[in-house]
Amino acid sequence: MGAAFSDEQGAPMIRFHNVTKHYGRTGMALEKVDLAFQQGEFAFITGRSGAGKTTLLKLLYAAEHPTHGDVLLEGRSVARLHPSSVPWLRRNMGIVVQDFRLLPRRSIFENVALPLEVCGVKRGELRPRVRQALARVGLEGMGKRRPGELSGGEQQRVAIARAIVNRPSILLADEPTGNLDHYLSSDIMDLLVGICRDQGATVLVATHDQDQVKRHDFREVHLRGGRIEFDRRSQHGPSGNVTALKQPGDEATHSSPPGTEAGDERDEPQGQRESPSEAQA
Amino acid sequence: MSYIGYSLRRALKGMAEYRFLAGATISAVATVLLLIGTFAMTLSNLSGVLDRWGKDVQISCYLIDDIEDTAIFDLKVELQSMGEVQSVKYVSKLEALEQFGRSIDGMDRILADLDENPLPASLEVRLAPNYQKPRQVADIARRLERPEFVALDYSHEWVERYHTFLSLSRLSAMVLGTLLLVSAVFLIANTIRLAIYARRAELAIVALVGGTRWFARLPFLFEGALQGLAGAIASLGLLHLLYRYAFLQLQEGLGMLMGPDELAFLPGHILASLLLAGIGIGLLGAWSSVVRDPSTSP
Ligand SMILES: Nc1ncnc2c1ncn2[C@@H]1O[C@H](COP(=O)(O)OP(=O)(O)OP(=O)(O)O)[C@@H](O)[C@H]1O
Ligand SMILES: [Mg+2]
Repeated sequence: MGAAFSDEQGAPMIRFHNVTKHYGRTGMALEKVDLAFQQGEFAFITGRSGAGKTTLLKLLYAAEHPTHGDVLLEGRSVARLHPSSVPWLRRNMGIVVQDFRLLPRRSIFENVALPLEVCGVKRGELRPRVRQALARVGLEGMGKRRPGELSGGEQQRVAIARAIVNRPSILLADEPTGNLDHYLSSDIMDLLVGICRDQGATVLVATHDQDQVKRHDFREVHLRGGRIEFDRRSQHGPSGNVTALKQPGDEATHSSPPGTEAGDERDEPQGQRESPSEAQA
Repeated sequence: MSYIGYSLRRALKGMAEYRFLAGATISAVATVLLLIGTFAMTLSNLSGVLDRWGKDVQISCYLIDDIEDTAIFDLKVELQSMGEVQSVKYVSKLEALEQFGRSIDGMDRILADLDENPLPASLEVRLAPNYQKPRQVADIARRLERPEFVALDYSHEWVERYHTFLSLSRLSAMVLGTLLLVSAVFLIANTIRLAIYARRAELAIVALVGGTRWFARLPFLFEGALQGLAGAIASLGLLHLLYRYAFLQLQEGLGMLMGPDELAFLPGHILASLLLAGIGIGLLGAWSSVVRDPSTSP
């Protein structure tokens, strides 16, 4: 992951190249999938249950490996990544899984701090960053509580705070609004959109919540039985980039370690830099 | 590294969470090390006794009754010239009687009633430090034999048997100790396996957020090492109690047999080895579980 991002305009951040995934001998989850996502893009992955949404995301963070084809991240193969390199891949990603996966015996603060702990971030530096992430999801002051003392929506937001605390360049969210009511779902989806807009992160959201898909005008990749049924582009622009068109060569951010202020390097004349949390850091 | 601090905190929290399991493991390790320490303490004291006896291995050469003083003098000089001999001391019939009289309470009065002194004069041969092994003593005694001697006495059988007994005890203690150590390793391995199993959800999350396998493993290695260390410290405490209240008590009972020297507690290097052994079995047990468990290899 250490190499500089390609300067070539339009070189995709994420690329699925003729990817087929079978589980065991019979279970077919993805079939000949070709897909590309640009840096800073926001996209929904939709489809009925069992269509292969989760599998698509798992291939990206190397929890599963394709049976055929290749998954490329910034031009590098994720599928052929050595197992010992997988942690470094994931440190550049924020992953929100459907069942939250919070540690019940640890405080909200400790849960959100975990991605920083695994990187060896010092305690003094860790504190403000966790507070900032909690504030970003509207949970300031909740750090001392345990996950069991929060509502489902609040837990979902803790999972998002944990996913963004490292300022990842890619955010993968699997059914982030799974069991939430319409209003809460909208809040959470707006939060994810905000992270894409403010931090320039590439965000993929797997969902079957059509309400949310319709509320936003973003790209929608629809799967059916492991194949792409349609790939509807957003009206925002040719690449569906929320942050509008990028300048070539302004993307040195993915190789920077989590501690650095990635946001400063991607400053844009067009604005969109309205994140107060980044300004404090 | 902040990894170390984090891992230590996790290890301590993990042990606190499963106090009972940790307590049981620590007690078992302590018991194993206590047994091994007791073996070591007993054996080192027993061989200390042998060393003390070895130090004054003495061959008594009893003289025939009608021997002239000049012949005795010549014999003494002759023996003294031998390399194996450190010193030769003449004990007359009268001195022998007095010594014997002093050795047992009331014996002097019994002896005073005798018409004649039944004890022979003797030359007490003290061996040089390099010639005190039981087997050598028998050889040397054979070379000391002279027509002027009625008999030679060096209680070799006793020393030799004691020596054999000691070697056998040492061997069985080592075999038993090794078995105990191995079982302690298995015990810790099992505890850590349970700990890993109990925390597998946590480990999956650690892997999800980019924790390396070492980040996942280190807390368990610390946990094993800490349990081993705690067991070792507890065993040293118990060992000291055992020494104060059993060994020293025993010595008072057996005072005469054991000689004037106090029974010793274990020397420093053995105590240090016990501590290291505790940490070692902890690490080894934890290691064997950690490398085999898939949830610590994200
Ligand atoms: N670990 C697995 N072993 C075997 N088959 C699997 C496994 N995971 C998924 N599958 C199968 O692969 C197919 C795609 O599963 P996937 O989880 O990607 O679907 P999904 O679109 O995320 O569904 P949902 O909306 O219910 O979460 C399904 O048919 C499923 O049964
Ligand atoms: Mg799914």
